[in-house]
Amino acid sequence: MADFNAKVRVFEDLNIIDVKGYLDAHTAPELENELTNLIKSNKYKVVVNFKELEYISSAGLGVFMAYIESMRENNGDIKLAEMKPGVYSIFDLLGFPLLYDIFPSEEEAINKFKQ
Amino acid sequence: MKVKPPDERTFELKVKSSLENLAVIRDFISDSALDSGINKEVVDRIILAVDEASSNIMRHAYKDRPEGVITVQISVKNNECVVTLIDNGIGFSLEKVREPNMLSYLKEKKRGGLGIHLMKILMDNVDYSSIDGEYNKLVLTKKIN
Repeated sequence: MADFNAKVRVFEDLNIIDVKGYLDAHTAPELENELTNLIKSNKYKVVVNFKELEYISSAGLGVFMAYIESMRENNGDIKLAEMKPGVYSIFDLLGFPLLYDIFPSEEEAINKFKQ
Repeated sequence: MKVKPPDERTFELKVKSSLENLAVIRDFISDSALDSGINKEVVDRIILAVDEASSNIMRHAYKDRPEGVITVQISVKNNECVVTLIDNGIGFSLEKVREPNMLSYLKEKKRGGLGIHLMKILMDNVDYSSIDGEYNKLVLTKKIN
């Protein structure tokens, strides 16, 4: 069975979401819930750490597409970090690296918010 | 001693149209394709294309009704991997699906509409046929040599 988990931790004025497992049409609502909760709490600066994400389908990509503009409208962003090559290749196939900030490390994603 | 695989191998899976079965379908494709000697990088592409096809069937053909049945067949023949998905839900027109404009999708906060585009990128051929009131058949083909 598909296993997915999204956990939020706070670092200074940022919220970091650690995603783990398989992000597909079945599990995407769990990530949506976390992003909805952050917007409700006026938290618009988000880093998503993909270190433990094994798989993503278009339903997972769609979650970022649906929420990133709301973050940007409020002087925030969703920055993406530490993707495995297989996961990055799916973002790349659809041209996401032109539209999203994607970093090799979480630290670089955090520093980008400070610039 | 290595055993030469037969020219054609076909595996079949039938599952209910429930999103939690996406993982079952992915495991089925992974096991069958790797067992047929296809390399992992190509298998990963086939898995994603079939996942996109299956979730489209669950969402749109069966309108999220979990009692629908999806038949998934995978065969390897003549250096091609062919995956066929059959459902009895509502058909659609593959020709009417436009290529997505990512920038405008982002501005519109649109979350869907990428699945068929991804399938076309990942596979060498995507063919769809629909017999109204009977069945819909999607055939995904990938060269594997």
